[in-house]
Amino acid sequence: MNFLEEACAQEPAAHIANFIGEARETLQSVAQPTRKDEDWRLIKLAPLFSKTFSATPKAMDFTESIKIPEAEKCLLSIRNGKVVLSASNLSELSEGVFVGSLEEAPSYVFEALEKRKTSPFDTEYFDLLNRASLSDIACVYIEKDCVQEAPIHVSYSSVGEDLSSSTRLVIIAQNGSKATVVETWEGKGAYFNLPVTECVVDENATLKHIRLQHDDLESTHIARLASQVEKGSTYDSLSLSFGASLSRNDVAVSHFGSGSFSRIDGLAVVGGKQVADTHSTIDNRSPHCESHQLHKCVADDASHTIFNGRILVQQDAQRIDAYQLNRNLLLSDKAKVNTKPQLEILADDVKCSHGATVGQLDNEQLFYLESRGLGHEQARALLTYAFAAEVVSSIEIPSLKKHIETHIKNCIDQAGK
Amino acid sequence: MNETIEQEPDDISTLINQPYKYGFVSDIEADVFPPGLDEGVVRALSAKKEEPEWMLEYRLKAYKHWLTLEEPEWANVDYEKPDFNDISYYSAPKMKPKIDSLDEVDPAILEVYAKLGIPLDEQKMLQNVAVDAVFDSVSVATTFRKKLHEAGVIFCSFSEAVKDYPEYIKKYLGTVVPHTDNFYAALNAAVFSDGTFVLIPEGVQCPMDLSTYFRINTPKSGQFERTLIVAEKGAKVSYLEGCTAPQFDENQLHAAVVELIAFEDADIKYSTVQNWYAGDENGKGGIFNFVTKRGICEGARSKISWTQVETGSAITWKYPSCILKGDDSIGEFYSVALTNHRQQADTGTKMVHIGKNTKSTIISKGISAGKSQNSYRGLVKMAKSATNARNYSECDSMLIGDKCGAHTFPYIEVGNTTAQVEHEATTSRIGEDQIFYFLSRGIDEEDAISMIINGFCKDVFRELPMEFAVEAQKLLGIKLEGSVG
Repeated sequence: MNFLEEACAQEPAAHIANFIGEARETLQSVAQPTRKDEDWRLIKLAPLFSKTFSATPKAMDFTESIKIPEAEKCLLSIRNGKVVLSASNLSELSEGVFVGSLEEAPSYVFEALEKRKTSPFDTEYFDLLNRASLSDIACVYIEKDCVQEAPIHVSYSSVGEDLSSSTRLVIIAQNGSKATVVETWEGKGAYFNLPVTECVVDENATLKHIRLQHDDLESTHIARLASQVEKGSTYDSLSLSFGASLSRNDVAVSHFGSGSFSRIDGLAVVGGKQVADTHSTIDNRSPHCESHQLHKCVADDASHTIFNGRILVQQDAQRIDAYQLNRNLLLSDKAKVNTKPQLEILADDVKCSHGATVGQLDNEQLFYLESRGLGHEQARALLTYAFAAEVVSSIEIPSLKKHIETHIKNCIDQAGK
Repeated sequence: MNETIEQEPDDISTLINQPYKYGFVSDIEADVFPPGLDEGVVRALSAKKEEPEWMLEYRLKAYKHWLTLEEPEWANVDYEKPDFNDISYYSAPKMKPKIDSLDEVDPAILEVYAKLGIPLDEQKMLQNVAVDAVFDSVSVATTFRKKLHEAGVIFCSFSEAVKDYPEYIKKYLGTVVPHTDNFYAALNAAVFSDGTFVLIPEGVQCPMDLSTYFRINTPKSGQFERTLIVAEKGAKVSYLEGCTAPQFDENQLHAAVVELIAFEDADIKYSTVQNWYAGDENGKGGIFNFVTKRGICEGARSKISWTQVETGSAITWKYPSCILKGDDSIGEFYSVALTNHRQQADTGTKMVHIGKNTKSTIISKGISAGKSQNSYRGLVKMAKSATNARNYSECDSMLIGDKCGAHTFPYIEVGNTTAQVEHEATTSRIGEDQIFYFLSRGIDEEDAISMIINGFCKDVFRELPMEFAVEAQKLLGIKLEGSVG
């Protein structure tokens, strides 16, 4: 019995039946997480569990507002958990690239999918729940040595009350390939999103991955991202959490091959009574890997941000260079910040450091700006913007960058009032 | 350079073979309870200590609560849980019913302390330190009582305090670490055997450093001592604690509780050099050190400072904490934790900021060698009321050898916009270039390592009282001698 009962009882479509596998059965024996679990001790899940969500959406009007002109011909639309090709435009994909539902995927995509390694979430409650209640699987497949110039936009949109959607996106970047994938979430209503994204970055491939979560403020968003990073490859990711009343983002990046690099940046800008929780694990299993993580949180009103970042260095993974910085800005007396940067190191020849700061704006910086004629509110807004914008500055898609910067500006302006 | 690095394993084995200096067993006739724990044992213990009714009630309340608790498992340590029915909860050297002066202490015990280098004999004492020696379950001697008495300072064993100063014990016992606090605190509250009570009256600066020396001697016995230090308004005290135990193949349990209370403008400095027996190179034997230490800065401008050098114990599970309740109060935590062989340490601190303008500093240095695991676990909490509170934390780990582990688990919780928290942590090993620098200046490898490690720990050693700083440096030297190539 669980709150997604209806979705878990549905007869699965043929192409996802395999994926569901034993998840429904296993789920019976896995307990729902509670506040007694270390990973969930700061989040109230009981209200979510006490609700019941429907898995059958009514016909609704969708108007996606996050548009990326650079990717308009590489757009995959997922509405209420299902791939909708009529709303997608995949006319300008490079040769060797497949984007779409697993239903239409060629056999080599299936083969690549089967070969992916186990993820640390495989036995975790919400991942099992995602599989048990699966609505669709989307794939992004980039053939060996293929370069996909235009970014691929996977747009999730949900409309409806008490509606759940459990989707899975599998991104496979084969040896030596190169691509950028942008995932965006938006919608209307008190729905529940349970997306899982799996990435395979094979040898010498480069994958840039941006995830913009801008769900309705009434909604709940519980996401998982598991990335398998192979030898000599680069995985560059950025997760942005702006929406949802409760958002939880679990990220697990595993360096399987030596000489790989990953960036796991994040930004959460929240207000009202929002809760934004990010748990990340970077597992270094091979030597000579490098990882870089910058996670920033801006908490306004009575919001609550949580960051839990783990860096693991396994015993034989020598010469690891791992850097992690978490900075938090509290804008209101009622806001709350929890952070727990963790290092677990089992090799001796490593360079690992982490830092965490929580505070308000620097009075000296404010004074500097005020002494140059800016009003107090203006100066505050400028500094807050600069704090958040640092994370965004690396985005190479101008329209997306602009969209995000505008959103941050609006949030700050509202906070000023 | 590469050659020297490759030599490492040999040198580590040299290190591993360093004997535990304090591992001797002294044959002293002891009055020991048979192993086991039930309500009868708690009652018998209380009766043995001739305790008043209220004390027994407190113990029974704690015991009943303990029965409802489960042993915690969240710490990053792996061990076989002790069988609480296989432990003797009381072991005391047989002696005359009451001791009036040192002359009446069993000379065999005095000899043990002499062997440990703890001068109990006041006549010969050069150091200006008053010592309370706790042997197994009871306090055997307290020195310099007269001089302290003149200053108005109460420094005595816990059992004496229960009899002589019940009003203080009733007032303060369990106020900082309640018997419901955690599994081991509850167990301690039920069966604590002895410990130290210190009260520094208003405006008094304690004329000398106070010190307790703990020694577990009887096999299969647990040591559950309780320390309570109260510094009244404007009082100041520096307190030292040292621990050793003989070598046994079986694990012994040490579950102590320390409570510190600092009122307005008071200043308590608590230093520990912990060198319990750590077990042999295969992890056999050694002490389980499960300790709850907490201080409260009750009054404005008060200060509590914890300094610890943790080198012993098979398992360490210890988080000396400060509750910064008074406005402008200060909490400090300085720690060096060294693990070797198969030792496991999960240690750190909690700084709970409640008052305005409260400040805390955390400096933690972890050194892991051999096959040991060393974790820092800390909490910095800024309550809503903690306006302008500040915290600075620095946790550095050093790894010696490729089979050990270093872990950091800092928890930061902030609920006030004006509070500022900074946390930094690094993990590294001794750099080849650093060693090369020393070698090129004619300093041999071993001295170079010792200098680098002492430099690594300097921030903490500086905080230790003089005698302890010397002891701590020597201890690290012994433990790490020849450890790195």
